[in-house]
Amino acid sequence: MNDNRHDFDLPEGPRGPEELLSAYLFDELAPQERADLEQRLVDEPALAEQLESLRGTLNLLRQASVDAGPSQLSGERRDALRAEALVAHSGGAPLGPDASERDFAPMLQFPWLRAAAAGLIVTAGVVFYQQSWMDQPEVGLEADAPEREMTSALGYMDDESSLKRGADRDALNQIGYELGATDPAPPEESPSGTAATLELSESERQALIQLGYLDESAARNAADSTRLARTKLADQVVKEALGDPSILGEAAFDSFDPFVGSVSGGTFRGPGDSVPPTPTTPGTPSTPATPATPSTPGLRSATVQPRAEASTGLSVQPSGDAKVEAKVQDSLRALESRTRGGFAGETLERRRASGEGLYFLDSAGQAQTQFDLGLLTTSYGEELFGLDAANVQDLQQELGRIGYLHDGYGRRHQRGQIITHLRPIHENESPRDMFFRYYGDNAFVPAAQDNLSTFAVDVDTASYPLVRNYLSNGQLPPRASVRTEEVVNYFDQGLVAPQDDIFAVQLDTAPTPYGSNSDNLLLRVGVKAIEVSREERLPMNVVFVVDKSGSMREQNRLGLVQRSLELLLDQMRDDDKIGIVSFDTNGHIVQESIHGRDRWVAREALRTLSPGGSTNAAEGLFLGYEMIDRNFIDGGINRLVLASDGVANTGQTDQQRILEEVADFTARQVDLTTIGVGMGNHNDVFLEQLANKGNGSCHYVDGFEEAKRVFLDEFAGTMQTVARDVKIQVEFDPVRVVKWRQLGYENRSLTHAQFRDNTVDAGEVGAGHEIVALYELELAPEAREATTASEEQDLATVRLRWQPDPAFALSLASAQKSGILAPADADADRAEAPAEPTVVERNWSLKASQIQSDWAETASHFRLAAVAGQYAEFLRRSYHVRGDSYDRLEADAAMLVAELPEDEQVRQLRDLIRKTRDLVRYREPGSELWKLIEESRRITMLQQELRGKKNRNEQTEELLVELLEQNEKLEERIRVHLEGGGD
Amino acid sequence: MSEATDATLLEAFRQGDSTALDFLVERFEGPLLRFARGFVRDQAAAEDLVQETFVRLIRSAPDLGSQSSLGPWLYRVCRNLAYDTRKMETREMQRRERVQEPEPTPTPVGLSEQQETAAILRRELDLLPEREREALRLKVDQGLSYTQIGEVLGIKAGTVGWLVHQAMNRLTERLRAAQAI
Repeated sequence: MNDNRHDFDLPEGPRGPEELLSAYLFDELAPQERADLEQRLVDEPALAEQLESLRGTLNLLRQASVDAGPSQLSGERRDALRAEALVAHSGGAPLGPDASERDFAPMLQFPWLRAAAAGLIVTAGVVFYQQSWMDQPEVGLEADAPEREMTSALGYMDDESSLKRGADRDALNQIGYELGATDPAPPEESPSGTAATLELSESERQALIQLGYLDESAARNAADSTRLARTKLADQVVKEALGDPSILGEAAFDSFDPFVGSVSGGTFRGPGDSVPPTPTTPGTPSTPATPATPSTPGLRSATVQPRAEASTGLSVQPSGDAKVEAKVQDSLRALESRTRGGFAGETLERRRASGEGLYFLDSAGQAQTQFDLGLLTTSYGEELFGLDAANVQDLQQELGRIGYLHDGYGRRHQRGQIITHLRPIHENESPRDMFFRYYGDNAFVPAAQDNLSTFAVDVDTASYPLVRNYLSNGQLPPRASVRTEEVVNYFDQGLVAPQDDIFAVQLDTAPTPYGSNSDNLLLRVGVKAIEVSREERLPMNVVFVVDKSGSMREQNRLGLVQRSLELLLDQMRDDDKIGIVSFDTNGHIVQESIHGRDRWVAREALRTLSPGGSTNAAEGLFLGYEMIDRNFIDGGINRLVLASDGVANTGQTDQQRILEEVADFTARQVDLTTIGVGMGNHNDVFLEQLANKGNGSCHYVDGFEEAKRVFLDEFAGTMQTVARDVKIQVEFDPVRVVKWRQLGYENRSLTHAQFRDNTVDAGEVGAGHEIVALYELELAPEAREATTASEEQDLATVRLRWQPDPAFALSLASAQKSGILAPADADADRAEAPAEPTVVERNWSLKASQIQSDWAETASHFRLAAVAGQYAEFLRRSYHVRGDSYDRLEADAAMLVAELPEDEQVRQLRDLIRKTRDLVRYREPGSELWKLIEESRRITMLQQELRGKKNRNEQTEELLVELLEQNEKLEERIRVHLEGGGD
Repeated sequence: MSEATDATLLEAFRQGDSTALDFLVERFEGPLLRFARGFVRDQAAAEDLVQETFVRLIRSAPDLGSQSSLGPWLYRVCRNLAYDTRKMETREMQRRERVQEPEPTPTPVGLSEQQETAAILRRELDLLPEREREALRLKVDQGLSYTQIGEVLGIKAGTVGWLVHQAMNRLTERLRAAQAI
């Protein structure tokens, strides 16, 4: 700061009278100066008058400075700070130089690092994981910096300045960090004396041996088998380094948890999994030595022979031994109580009194970085292990109410719900700070176990423009933002519109060029809804609900919304009704509902909106719904159009509650369209869920071109619902189809019973909409060699079930088109007044003879869907795209450009694929770390298959516990790799 | 403990007492938020700045020495962060010029006299030279002494006095012209 001084400071000199006046007002005068001035004020009325003026200004300023904003940080932010402090105390934070006053930019660029370090230390795995999966040369994450920063934030790998070698290194080695003993210290100097204060009880040891997690020799070595929890020790190391005497003789932990032990060091090992002592690498004193070959033969063989490993390597002795079982339960309970967290003395009381949530602390109040099972319930579990939302909830229920925890996405998890942590994006911020929810990959389902795929249709296409927006900014989209079905559905499917029914279904299938097995089939289920012209559509009662909060100022989001809605206004007919509501800190009626012929009035009103204030989405929605209600058109389209960047932060912000309130209105056939704008703050999940609950669709508008597509080209589909609660069920012939998996629709799946349950809400479909679902099928060998006899047998049956939109059905009937409506014969007399919503179900079957043999000869649009779906799977880093290449994808896309020259979207897709390929330098599998991660993913897939088993027995459950543990160990080794710079 | 000095709390925090941080946060979050709102317009961004400021405090705690008052240090950090963010935003804006600016929106009419005065004051504050505005805000909103303001801005106390005086005079003249006072 001293640098600034000379460039601005004035030479000291006597102050003029007016300057004295200000100083007087602010009580900055020395007593003598003050007395002098007061005397002058008496003598000089002009000066006194001037003082009064200044005082007037000051009063105004003081009034204005009592501004409306909150004077406290939000709870989440305080929590984040506490977590940060805990990390700092447990030896984590990089102390010192980075706190210099000027050099802030690097910190701002990686706020997620901080979030990760503060909330969930193990996200390190994810960071590295992303780094290894995808090299992102131009993405703004300098390759080394985040890792270095992360690891040093973890406090385990630092330069000489903070951790001294020798004893520290030994300490780290002891807790499983194989840094290599370049500087072997005599045993008496190592802190093992303090470390060996805890022991496994004999029964615990036995249980672990029985489970195959502790080899006998290790178990006999008490010094090796007893470990302090790592954070604790690291804390000690740091305190030692800082010369804190308080650690001497301190008992480390008051309880021992074998599960924690199993992840905290190399001692407890899986069968056949021997980690040899790390070879020493002399002569590299300044950096922690990389384990030259952290060879893990067990793992390698597991990669080569996954299935065999699964059945033998994980061999839990199905002991039936009640003791062992009880032991496992005990351990889980211990784990649970640990993850609930505990507080030391006053801190606990204080936080309890203030009703705040619990942290993951150990008994000494230190940061507890072992998140154990809790770990899996966070993004780490989602990201690395592909757990889906349901699994996460299961786990959280198992854990009981675990208080809350923050994850690397800046989200807070509390009692099984994800509570979004609100913050705007900074430049170069990792997408992880944003708000997408990841639903995991669908696993292959053995048809013998379950031959039904049931899901609600999804006509949304928001995901694709979002992806496009990321890429156009030179960033890879976060995997959670990619929803395969929405990417596929974005493209023209070339389906033929039905003439005599609400829907037409087209089925295509051919051997897939993608995926691991070229014998597999790709099946496209294409559904097309009836088309409706502008004149044919029903009269509309539309209310725009426009977010004009402060965040809408960014990137001129509000301007884009205004122009988009003007497009919508252009489509109005004279008999329509239109109203406008806006919201910032409160909701406002901008334009009471008027007739379509006066739409210019609405246009004027729309243009007066200017951004400012916070985001009270709930109030805006409510006003909007009330306005719709006042102007309800029986037998017309009643629709709310919500345009927002989706981050509610005032009023009712609980998304679930907002969604519930919306549900009340939708029961009265008011539809909702959500339009998402902006990238950083665009709360994708919120708007999508809102549209789902609100009988409508969700669009993401990244620019005017996209607005034109949604509001001009697809206006009828966007506004005119033709069918409600549309569900699809695909039944596979369990003899011919061995396994199947669906691409996408992860968050749309329904239970099979829900298909015919008319109370279950599903997707709405607008006029002319196309819906496509893709499946990969593995056929039985005999089915592949089709004979003429088998050709006419059904391979799959597609059932479509929907409720015709009553108003639309009525209008069709009155337009003498009753023939169009499928159930008209059965319900001819009811068509006049459909008191009860009729439900229609149809089915279509796929014959074996329909399988096309040559991929290249299939319809262009089928291949387009396949390319789009595969591209989305790539972007999701799906487990199933291993071995596929971008080059192949790009070649296929290029071919489609030639075949569909008039479709601009196809050209754009090809360009995006190219761009992605350039951004992603696909790293060939082969590194140790890669294998660890792949193994972990494989185990996760296995877990999912096990969970889906119909007859789960005790052994299944034990195996599941095993798998969970395996994954924990893998994850620990991933972390070891990461921190040892192991790859 | 909440009556402890900043220095005591800082020292306690250094020794591993996390509650000390809570007290420091409670002590400074309000003033810092107000301060931050002068740089960024929406609340979330202000909270971001303040959160980041405290993170810096946590990280720098060992190196801070003993400060009788943490205020100036915190304001300084917050201010630097704000400028940093602003720089980034400017760059971001330049990159995103695809979307055209909308036509200027008319000033809302029908405000109460008080609201109108407040609006004029805000506008005039915006028009002040940046240094003057900062000095004035630190004085009026935060109640720092000239010396402390000097620490925050990296200038001498005498200069602060001059800046504050200039700002007050300008504002008074303009408010008088607008017949607000």
